[in-house]
Amino acid sequence: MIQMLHVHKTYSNGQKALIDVSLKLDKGEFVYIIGPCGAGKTSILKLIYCAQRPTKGMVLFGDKNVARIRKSRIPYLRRNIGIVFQDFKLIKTRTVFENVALALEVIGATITDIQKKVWKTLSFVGLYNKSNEYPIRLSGGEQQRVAIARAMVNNPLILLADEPTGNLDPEMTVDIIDLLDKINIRGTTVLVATHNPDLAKNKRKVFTLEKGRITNG
Amino acid sequence: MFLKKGFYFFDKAFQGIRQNPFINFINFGTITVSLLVLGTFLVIFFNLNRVLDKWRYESHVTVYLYDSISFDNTSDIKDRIAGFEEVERVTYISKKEALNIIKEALQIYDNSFEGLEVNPMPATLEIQLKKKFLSSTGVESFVARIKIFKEIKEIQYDQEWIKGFSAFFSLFQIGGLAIGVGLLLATILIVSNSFQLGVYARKEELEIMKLIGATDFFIKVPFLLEGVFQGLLGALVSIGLLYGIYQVVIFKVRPFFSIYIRELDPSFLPLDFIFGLTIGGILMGMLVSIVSMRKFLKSY
Repeated sequence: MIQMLHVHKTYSNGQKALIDVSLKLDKGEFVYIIGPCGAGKTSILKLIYCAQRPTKGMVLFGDKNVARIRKSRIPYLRRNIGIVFQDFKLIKTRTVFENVALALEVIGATITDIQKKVWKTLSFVGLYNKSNEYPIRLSGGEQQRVAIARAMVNNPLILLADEPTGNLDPEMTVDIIDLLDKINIRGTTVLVATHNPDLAKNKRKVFTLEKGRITNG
Repeated sequence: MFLKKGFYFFDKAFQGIRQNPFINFINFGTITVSLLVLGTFLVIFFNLNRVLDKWRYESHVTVYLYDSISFDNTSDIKDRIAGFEEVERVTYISKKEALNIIKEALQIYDNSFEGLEVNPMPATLEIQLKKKFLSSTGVESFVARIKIFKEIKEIQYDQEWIKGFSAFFSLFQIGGLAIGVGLLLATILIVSNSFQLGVYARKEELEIMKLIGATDFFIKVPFLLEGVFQGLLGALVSIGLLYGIYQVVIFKVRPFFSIYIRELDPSFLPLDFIFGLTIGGILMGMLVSIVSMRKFLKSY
């Protein structure tokens, strides 16, 4: 489903973020990328959702090389990708419902469709009763659940999570990982980037990243 | 679907205005002041143009004939002049008629003509030229061509000072245009800077929208509508203010310049100018939001 072939990424200041990275994600897999801060985990995710372009190499989404995708096509690609961030990236002036609904608004969904899908997703992540709350009144774990709800409300092909538990305590971390597992069981491919190797224990597919190079897999 | 989307964009635009009322007020105020100054220029330009046109179209060429020429010769020269392509109409005024006209015009000095044994007034031909030949070069070329007639003693035409006034008017037009363009550019610069503050206040939201698949068009349209609304409101308020100021000025100066005001017959901007000013305001608002959004979207 996603394949990176000999990808290099060097920033304008000369810093090498990725060196000859090749990896493959099949449909329905739950994959971890682990590595310390600055190892290049976020760069890999950014290359997949086209926030950055590789200096060299190919990034295939299906059979399309997104490294060469036209700028105007990027929004349409992103509609197939759900993204979850460490800092949640929720809009403070919107309620939980409105934050989740935004992902459907931007693709021009009808109000009926938005209502139906948002309620269903909020039930799935366990926030049905918090739909009218503003993010500021929620715990970190709840905010991350809202972010996950927003990422999956569109039924994306893949969910990318960049340090999704980085700001959470151990109990909430387990909750979020369980939720990501549930999403994966429903058929969505999940790619989690984390610095915490404990999260990836007992997982079948783990890529370890160090100084921009994949050291296993 | 189209209507729903339209409604959504309008809703978002008004939400944006509610979120940043101060910035929106500043933008609206700047556009209003700028269009008010521009509108003032337009009122002056429009009225000067009207006066110039009036004078130009009312001007005519007066040909004074020698007393010695016979009636037949007079008819002949009248016909020959009437044959020129520039001529709309030629009116013959005999010596007697000329005297009566002058007597009528100067009736308070009626007695001064009583002692006259000989009529001093020459017979004249009042020549009205066609509109398209009423430019100063058109009149001058016509005058040069009729000068050769030996029956003509003198030719008078009021193009000289109209030419001077036209030159002043052209200067005013160029100056007004330069000031207008400068003013518009300055307004766009000022408003686009404060507009960007509004965009940056919602930076996080827009960034998230981009990450979840919003197209640039989807992000831009509410801001474009915000700009259109600011421009439209600015234009309407500036036209209202301009009309108020115009009425006050005319009312205040009328007693002092009543004769001239009657002669000049001042008028407020006609509908097409008002329409143009309104469209100008809308375009200015649109341009401001396009410039601001372009800068923002380029960096994300």
